Amino acid sequence: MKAKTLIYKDNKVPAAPQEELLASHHPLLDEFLEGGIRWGEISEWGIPWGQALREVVLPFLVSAQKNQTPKPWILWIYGQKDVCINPLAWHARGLDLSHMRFAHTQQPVHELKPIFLSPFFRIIVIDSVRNLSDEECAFLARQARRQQQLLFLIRPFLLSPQQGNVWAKTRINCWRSNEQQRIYAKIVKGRSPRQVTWLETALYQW
Amino acid sequence: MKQVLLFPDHETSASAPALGCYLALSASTTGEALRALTPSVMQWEEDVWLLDLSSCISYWQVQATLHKRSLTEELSSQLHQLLIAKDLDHIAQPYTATLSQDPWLGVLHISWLRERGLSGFFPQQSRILNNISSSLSWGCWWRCCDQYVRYAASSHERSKFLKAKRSMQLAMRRLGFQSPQAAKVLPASQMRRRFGSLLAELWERSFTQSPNSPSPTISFPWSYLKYEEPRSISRHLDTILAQWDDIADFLRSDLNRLCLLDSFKEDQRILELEWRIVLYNLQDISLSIPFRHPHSLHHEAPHQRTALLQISYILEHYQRLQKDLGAEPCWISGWELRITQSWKRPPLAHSLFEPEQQEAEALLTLENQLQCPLETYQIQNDWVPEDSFASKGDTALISSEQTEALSLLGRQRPLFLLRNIRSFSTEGQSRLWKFRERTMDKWWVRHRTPNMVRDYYQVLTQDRLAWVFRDAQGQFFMHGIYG
Repeated sequence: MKAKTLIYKDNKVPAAPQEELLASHHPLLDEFLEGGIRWGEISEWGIPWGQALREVVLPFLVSAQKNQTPKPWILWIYGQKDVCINPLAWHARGLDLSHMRFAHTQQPVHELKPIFLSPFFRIIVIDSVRNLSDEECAFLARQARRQQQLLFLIRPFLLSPQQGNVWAKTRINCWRSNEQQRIYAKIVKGRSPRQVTWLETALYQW
Repeated sequence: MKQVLLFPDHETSASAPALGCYLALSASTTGEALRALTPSVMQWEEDVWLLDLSSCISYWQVQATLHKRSLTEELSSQLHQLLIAKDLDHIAQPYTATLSQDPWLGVLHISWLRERGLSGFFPQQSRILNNISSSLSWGCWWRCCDQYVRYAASSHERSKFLKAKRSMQLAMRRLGFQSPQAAKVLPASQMRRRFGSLLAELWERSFTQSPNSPSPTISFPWSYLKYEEPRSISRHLDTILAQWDDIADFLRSDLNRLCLLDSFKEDQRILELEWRIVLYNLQDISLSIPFRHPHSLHHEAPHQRTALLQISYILEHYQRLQKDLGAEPCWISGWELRITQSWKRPPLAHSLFEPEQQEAEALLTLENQLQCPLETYQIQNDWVPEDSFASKGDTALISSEQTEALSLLGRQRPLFLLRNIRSFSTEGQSRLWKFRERTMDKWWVRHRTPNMVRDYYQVLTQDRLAWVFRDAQGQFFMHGIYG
């Protein structure tokens, strides 16, 4: 089935997101995801490392911190080697670092298990962690559903409809075309197939 | 030809330097009273105290955030409450305190401040302490050295020190150095060769504070005040155990028994436990169980989840090491559980900050239960990328105007920095270069090499967008990656 391509228009505002959805408050993204991402679910993102595409996820975190009461705590777990967080860049993109924590590990379920058993962090992002087994994904999905948390699972490669985490309700791929200077996102699983594109300069204006 | 070194060297760490937290205090008080700030208190002189705040600094940082103060302001306020609030008569001559990265600097600063009759709270970044080296006298420096040697050296080393001291005093007189400031030009290696390692170390720590300095806690002769009563519980097992599930039940019971000891009050929180296990072959093994934040055993009775988790991580780590060495499984026949460090923290102002306080308490408990630490960052008012944040230590509060300016700066910067900045070869790289910013480097800071500016670019390299800069000499370095 051919994917439907949405073209970015400044004046196009999607319908108001429902309460059980977390909207990014970015018109194009919210329309692409039919209003946002549902609380209590795992969404799996295929975002190759080093493409400046983790910024696609950030509007959801910023929106949650700005619009939810009480302000939710966010945990970003990253597994990349030899890098550390540049807090000023995160702050500049609108994140409140006082309600955000980071953790560097390749075994989040083993080393941070009490976090997943607690509802303290309402949004958890697991970025580029390679060693997640099926059992661990099932555990994460169960805890997210029970505690109505939002879990972003970012894979450092593009996903396919066949292979991936069966517990993720939504599967999305993001990639960049350096020739066209455009960014693409495509639904792989969980919603009707569609693709969206925008100029990379728009990314910095979010 | 003189070689000009340029920032950064290849091992420069991208993470902001962590500030040490050692409080030096001159006041008429008792060690017991000062334990409200930290359990690690040392009496340096009759009315001079050194406090190692590192074991509970995260707690004070949380309190500072809740009270919307900097860490310095929070500690200053706590000291004020401890030393003055109860006795209004002493306001005219209250106390002298300094906060520093190195306890040795704290000793020097407090001695210098007392010599001048100055009182108040002086963080290391304060202007008055920044200029201290220019007016530090030989008398003050030697007095501090004598005190240091009293704690650090054996009687044999002390006599060696006295000999070295006499020859150094003579040398300084002959060379015409009127103050330590004037003699700063002398290289540390020469000092070591002529006057021995102890004097050279103190010399170096007095004047050259570089990020590569040894950890002050290791090289400082701490002698903390001790608790009188031992607080420990022993267990002799009927059968030897190796499985965690079997061990955990007994440990839980022992942790609850610790709570019943008269010497361990309900308002005390533990910072470190010692678990001394006896193996089936009567071999003694001591495992240290540290806690990231002060932890209450009483509040977690009877399940003792946090303490059991921390003990399980340490045992797992030990067993893994033993396995790697090819040793036999760790069959345990008994143990002793001892509280090695505890802290009675001051009462909290619950009425004012209750919801935030509860949230902060919940986070501290959660962090105590983790094997892997959580990273906390605060923005600092600084344009240089590696100095623009702090992960630990003191940070000044920044105004909304400053926040706005920093946000504009950070917008073009990548989400991730390299842990170690590395040189970048432009040969064979793509032509997709985008200029991002020109940043002035801190060429005036002593431990950095004198580079004037950095020009930052976004470069596409091996399918990754890198954050690269060119220094004043035209060399390229990779500093970050756009996630």
